[in-house]
Amino acid sequence: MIADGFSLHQPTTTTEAIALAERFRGEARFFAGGTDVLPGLFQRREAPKHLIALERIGELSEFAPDRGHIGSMVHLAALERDAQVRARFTAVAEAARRAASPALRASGTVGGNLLLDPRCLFYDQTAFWRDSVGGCLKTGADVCRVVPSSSRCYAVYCGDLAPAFLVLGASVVVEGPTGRRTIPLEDLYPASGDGKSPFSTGRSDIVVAVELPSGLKVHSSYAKLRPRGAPDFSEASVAVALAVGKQGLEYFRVAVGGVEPRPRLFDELTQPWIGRTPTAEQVHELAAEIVRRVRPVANTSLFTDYRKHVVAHFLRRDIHALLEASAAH
Amino acid sequence: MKLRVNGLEYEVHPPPERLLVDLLREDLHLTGTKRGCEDGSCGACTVLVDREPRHACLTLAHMVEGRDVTTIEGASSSFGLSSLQRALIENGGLQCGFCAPGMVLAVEACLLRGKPTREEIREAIAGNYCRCTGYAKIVDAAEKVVRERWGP
Amino acid sequence: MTKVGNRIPLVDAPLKVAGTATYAGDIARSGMLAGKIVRSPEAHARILSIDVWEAASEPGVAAILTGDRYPVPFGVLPITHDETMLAVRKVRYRGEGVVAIAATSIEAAERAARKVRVEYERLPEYDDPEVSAGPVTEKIHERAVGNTNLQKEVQQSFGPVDEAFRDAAHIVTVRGRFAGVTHAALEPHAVVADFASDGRLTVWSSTQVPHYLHLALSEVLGIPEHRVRVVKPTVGGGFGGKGDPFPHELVAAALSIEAQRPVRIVLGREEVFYLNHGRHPTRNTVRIAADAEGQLRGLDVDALIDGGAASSFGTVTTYYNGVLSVGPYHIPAFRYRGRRAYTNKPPSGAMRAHGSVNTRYSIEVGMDMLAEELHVDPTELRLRNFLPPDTTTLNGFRITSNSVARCLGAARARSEWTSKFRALPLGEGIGVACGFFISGSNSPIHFTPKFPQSTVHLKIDVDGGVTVHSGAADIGQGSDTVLAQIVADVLGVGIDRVRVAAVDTDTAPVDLGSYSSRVTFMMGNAARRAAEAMLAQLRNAAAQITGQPAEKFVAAEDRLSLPDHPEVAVAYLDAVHAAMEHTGALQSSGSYESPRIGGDFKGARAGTSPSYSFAAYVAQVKVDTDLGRIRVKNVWAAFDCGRPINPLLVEGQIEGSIHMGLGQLLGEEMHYRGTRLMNPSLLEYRTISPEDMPEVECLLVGDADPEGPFGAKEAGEGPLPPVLPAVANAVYDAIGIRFLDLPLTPDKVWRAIEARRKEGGLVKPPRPEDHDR
Ligand SMILES: Cc1cc2nc3c(=O)[nH]c(=O)nc-3n(C[C@H](O)[C@H](O)[C@H](O)COP(=O)(O)OP(=O)(O)OC[C@H]3O[C@@H](n4cnc5c(N)ncnc54)[C@H](O)[C@@H]3O)c2cc1C
Ligand code: SF4
Ligand code: FES
Ligand code: FES
Repeated sequence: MIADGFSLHQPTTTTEAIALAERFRGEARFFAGGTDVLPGLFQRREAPKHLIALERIGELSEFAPDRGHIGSMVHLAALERDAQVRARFTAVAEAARRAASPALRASGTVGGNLLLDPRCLFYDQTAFWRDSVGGCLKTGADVCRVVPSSSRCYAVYCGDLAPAFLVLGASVVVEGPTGRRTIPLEDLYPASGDGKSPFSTGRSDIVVAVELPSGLKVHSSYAKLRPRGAPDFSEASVAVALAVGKQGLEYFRVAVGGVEPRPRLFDELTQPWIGRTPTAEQVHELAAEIVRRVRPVANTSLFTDYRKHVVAHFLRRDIHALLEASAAH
Repeated sequence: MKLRVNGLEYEVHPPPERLLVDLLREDLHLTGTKRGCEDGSCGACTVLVDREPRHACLTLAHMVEGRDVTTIEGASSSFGLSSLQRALIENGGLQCGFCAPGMVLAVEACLLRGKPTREEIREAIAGNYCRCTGYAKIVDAAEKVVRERWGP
Repeated sequence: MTKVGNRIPLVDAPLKVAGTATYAGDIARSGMLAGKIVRSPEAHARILSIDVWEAASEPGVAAILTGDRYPVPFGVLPITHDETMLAVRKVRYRGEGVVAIAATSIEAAERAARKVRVEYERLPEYDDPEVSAGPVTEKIHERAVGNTNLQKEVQQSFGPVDEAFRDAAHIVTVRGRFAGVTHAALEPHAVVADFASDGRLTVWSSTQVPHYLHLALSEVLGIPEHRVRVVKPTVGGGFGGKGDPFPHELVAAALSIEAQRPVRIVLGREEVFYLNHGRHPTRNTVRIAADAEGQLRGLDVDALIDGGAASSFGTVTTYYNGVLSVGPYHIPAFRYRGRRAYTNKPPSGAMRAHGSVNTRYSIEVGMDMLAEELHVDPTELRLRNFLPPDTTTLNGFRITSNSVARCLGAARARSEWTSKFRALPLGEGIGVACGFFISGSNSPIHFTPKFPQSTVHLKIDVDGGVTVHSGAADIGQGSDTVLAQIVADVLGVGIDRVRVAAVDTDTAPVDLGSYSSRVTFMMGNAARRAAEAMLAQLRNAAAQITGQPAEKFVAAEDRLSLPDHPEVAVAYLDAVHAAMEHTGALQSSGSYESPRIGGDFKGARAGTSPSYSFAAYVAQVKVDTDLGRIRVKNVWAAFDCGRPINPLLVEGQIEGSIHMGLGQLLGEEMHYRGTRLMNPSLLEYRTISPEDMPEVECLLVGDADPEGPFGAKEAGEGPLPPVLPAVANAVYDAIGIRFLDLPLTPDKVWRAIEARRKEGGLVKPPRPEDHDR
């Protein structure tokens, strides 16, 4: 039940959709699968007066994994099932398979997943609940309930696809009022962002598609910590992609999600390994260094020290496994 | 707008904020689709939209314009209950029954995609909460249908 | 063709599986309004003012109610009426109803609700039962004990307790802490109330206790009982969570009276969490004394339970936390102190295996510790101490049939216990635990006019169909099916001839509802007697037709015939018609009243039952020592429910209980920060997912109970308690760590493993036989 009415727009081109978003600036929200937008409306996390459905924009559903092209309206279920994605972009297929539950994956889209609203125990609650606390930074009040001394919001980015796409070097095609641009995916999640405004795109920008480098030959994996099985959100995720050649590592990237307001690539720590192969000891040290750099706060259900430990564990385990698989190849 | 529900065409005029679950239950009087939560976590409202499982509580009515919706009322045929429904009854795959409508459609959706393993059946119902059965007898019932349909 | 003892599917399953069974929320009445309750955002506060003026002028609003309109307190126990339909003068927990609105649509009601203004003055909040137990500055309820916020205190002592502990060769002490858990039935509570122009009130509600609701409606609204009718449609699960009369049920009725229209209230999931009445957050200390041979000498239990803001079943819970520990072992000396504290949290109440789960956990973990101290196998220790059948416990429980030793034998054998205990690799383990539970509380908790605990009426009409009227609420556990089986069996007809009428207080005889696992035993006996009375009429008719003696006829396969002369037979329908010649429709009644049992001390009735179920479970686990995850792989659940009337349903109860018990052990938690519930949703309240359920093997072991219907006992609650300690003991076997603070979420388990590693290493505990070396 949604007590606040809204207008629903169903444009058929991106241009039209963007024009609508501009016209109802501040009052509009794009609507893809709706699996995040609708709970937001039920809980009155926001009350947009205009929903702009993207479903009828045919271009957004284009799905050509052979070219590494994934339209933003492609459903997670499609990624999970596609043989090419599974073989070449394993981490993405794995991430899709571990997201939410089957029915949600049939509705939920790639675009909505990349732009999933960061989550927090004090935010993903009904209006009744939040009001009884008095709100927080993310809802416009002036205090964070988790880290009261902070002026930044620590809500956690829990989308499963982003870390997987990041390690595979994905870029996103974004169209806004000023036209189309292609940006590396990591630029969608700027370091300056926080749990309240995590994305570099504006409310009138449409994510058109994700582009994966088509010639990429790497081994990749995705691991997710969730308190139980489906449909739990991530409490820590690790994606790894690598390729081993004669001279050691030819490709090596890791990303961590589910612990901070943005999913994060650690190229500065993995790139130095290109041309070499780390020993078990060194992988251990690398994992420890990454964990030193992530700072979860107590706004999910599991202890933060545990979540950090799991990140390190996943990193060690999956880097080893991929090193072996890649070497055997 | 028009849509097909269980093979019949309906013309309805829901307001934009109408959810599919309310359209079905309140406007079309198809109360077999249940509601157990407000955040997409229980699956009691699962229906099929063009053969894919969907949470009717997280679907705007307008989003199924022109589509084919199957609810629990359409899960049985003119020949009676489906083999899955019969297997659930015989195997004790339901108790209070509140999860059954969503459960039936979640499993049907899985069966529509080909022969599943026991693991795949469990995954297929992972978003469907049941408080009564402990799930084992539901999975058993689904496996029975798999055996009937595809052999052991 | 006996129906009893067979795997008969639920009689209402074909409707449920087709989506055509009617639950309360599916009911629509002409002119029906939607009701909405405005709830308190404060946990403990005086209400200074309520302004509904603006709300009342919202479009579509038909009626608005506040607490002062019907301030009559109610509660499920007659001695502790401390709930009101809406808060009166003060609020006692966050989520308590303050204002109720009826409007033309739920959206309109919701919009109006936002316009209600309530001014509160905060009072000190109590979230800790220890604090509530001491002197307090603000009493949550006036009726609390002295100047504390204790709702109930119980002290009991039997036998030479001090001597037992003084002389004991071994004493183990277990201090358990248990988070509160809740029923989380899938169907949110729903009610439709219709106060019609003839002055009669009809209420359709998802309730386990139609007759208590009937009584509460009458008392609170001041309508004579004969003008109140409660109908129980199909109910989507209860587990105790629909076992009280609830504020929203009274509110719907009151709104209907105000608006002169039918009103429907369907609770949202968050509201269901605030309604709660679930298992009490608990701290207990269990001390077990034993002699050098491992014979138990004494048991000392102390429990402090967090009752939240109302009494509900709490007085009974307080007793049960103690008295349900006198089995399945022979205890020669027993002491109990139980205290239940009011706090400013949603009320606790009765939940499946009411009052017995947390104490059972500490006892069974304690038995494991004791076995280790004694260097004996824990199954062996238990075997040495089991109560025999046909005995009386020191506090006066009458034990009749009891196959607990056979249960343990069966679970041991199937699990290959001997080759696994202490023998699996580090990280893998096996554990055992036992339990017992009442088959229906011996003394009804309500109704001063004295009448039997269960009554069943039968009616046969010209079509030969048998209509069964009973007040026992089928909430998914299958009591309607059991009823139909029993009646069909006695009358010798196919089960399809029997139709169990929905519980309707206008037509159903009084029954005290579905709680304390009383339905099969008590209603089953009543049904059997009613059917036998009916059969007598049919036999007489057969005698008249054939000239043979009535008592010689047996009923089977739609015929009454003489066993020695099968050619002398009367078709069932002919017998029915002949019997009807003089009376019109055929009717009969049967009732059940349990025998007098128990001592004459205060609280002696608590826990007495005409019979008890017994259980012995073995669980096998694998602990991921890197991630702290406990994976329960197998549970061998041996259960003595006497002779099962329907093994299919018994297995369903066992498997469902294991799901619920494992949930409490591994993840479920009413997670409070102070008085604030942090996880009022099915996403954050974590039950076990299908992927995490173990393989369960149900072993139905047991002899026919002498007094149970066809020898049956309960199977709805007793299957739950043993699974928690069985798994905890298996975890100990796997990694040598005892966990006494539930739930065992992976982060907590991981921390304990890390701490142990730092202390000197994670190792398997030694085998009993290796101790001496
Ligand atoms: C019970 C439950 C469990 C869940 N568990 C998980 C989980 O485990 N992992 C996980 O990742 N997610 C989970 N989700 C969230 C969600 O289902 C998925 O992330 C899904 O992919 C979101 O996609 P959507 O199309 O439904 O997004 P929507 O709800 O339609 O949109 C989400 C956001 O993205 C914006 N948006 C969408 N598409 C575009 C576009 N093309 N251009 C610009 N803006 C756009 C919307 O405006 C909105 O702000 C869960 C949801 C629920 C209800
Ligand atoms: S991290 Fe702080 S500011 Fe952000 S949503 Fe949570 S409580 Fe609010
Ligand atoms: S009602 Fe719970 S998922 Fe739709
Ligand atoms: S049968 Fe009750 S929820 Fe599944």
